[in-house]
Amino acid sequence: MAMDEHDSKPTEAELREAAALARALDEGEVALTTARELETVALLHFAEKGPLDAVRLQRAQNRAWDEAQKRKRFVRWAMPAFAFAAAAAVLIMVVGPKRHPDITPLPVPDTALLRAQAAAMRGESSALDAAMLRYRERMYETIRRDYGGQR
Amino acid sequence: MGASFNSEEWLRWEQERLHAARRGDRGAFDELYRAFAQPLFTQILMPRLGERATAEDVLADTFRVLLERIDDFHSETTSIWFWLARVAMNKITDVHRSQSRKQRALSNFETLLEPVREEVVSPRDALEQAAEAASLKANVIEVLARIHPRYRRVIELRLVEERPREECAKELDVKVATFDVVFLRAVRAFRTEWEQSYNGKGTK
Repeated sequence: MAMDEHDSKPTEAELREAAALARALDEGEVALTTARELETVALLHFAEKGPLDAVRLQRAQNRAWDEAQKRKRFVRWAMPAFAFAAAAAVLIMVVGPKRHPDITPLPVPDTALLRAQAAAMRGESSALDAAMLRYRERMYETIRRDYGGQR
Repeated sequence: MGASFNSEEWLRWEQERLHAARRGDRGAFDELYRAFAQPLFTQILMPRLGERATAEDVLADTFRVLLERIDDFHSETTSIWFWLARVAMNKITDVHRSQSRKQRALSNFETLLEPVREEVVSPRDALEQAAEAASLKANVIEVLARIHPRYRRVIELRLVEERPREECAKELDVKVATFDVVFLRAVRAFRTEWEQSYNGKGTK
């Protein structure tokens, strides 16, 4: 059994580690530098206190039982409610308001129009007005056919 | 050593209680709890969490999970002990993760305990946890006896008598900062002696 260094002057590092260990034990603060000491303290504590005493053991048991019963009751109540909500959602989808008829797709611009647009981009706009006019005619014709609208 | 956790006799005992507990029989659940709670606490939870209140919370939560999933457990060849231990281990991981997010420290002293601990493999082991804890205490006392008396006293004041640092410092007639240093050295001296004493599993 050596006298060790127990009466020697502490180093700066030792003072810091001692303070960190004290804070970790008193305030639960993380002290990575004294992790090994905290493990040792935990072992000493555990050896001193031993297994869980009867009162705490019973308390944990009651908590487990009560909590499980509470959750079971919730599930018993919530499951039919969720099932009802899901069934209602399906019902609404099936017999709910009718969907709008499909929107008539507008005619796809022909290559003549695309070429005319490209030419207009280059400053050669002569063919664009005529191509746009033909496209508009086709579009109005499609709308008139499907919706009966007026031009 | 009693029957193994996987012995037919023990498994039959477990199955009967599980069956009754599934029907909501609180008495059957109590018997399962009495068989497994203390070993879970001392063998699995405390060594990995190092804090009694947290270990107690996880213990309650582990048995809550058992009650909720009792219908799912149908193995007739494996003890529920192993299932409970796995649930507890998962919960320990969750707790460590959550504590580290909160910048709180939990101590895992499993490696220190391992050399002096016997594995729980039988129901009788499980029911004799108090005796094992007493034997751990004897190990600790033996090691404490080998460190300097001043260090031993410091550990007793702080961890056995659980006196505040200021009071401990007053008792030793030193400043609080000095007491902190002596306590740090005492803990380190204990650890060194412990590791030297139990450097191989179960050997001294």
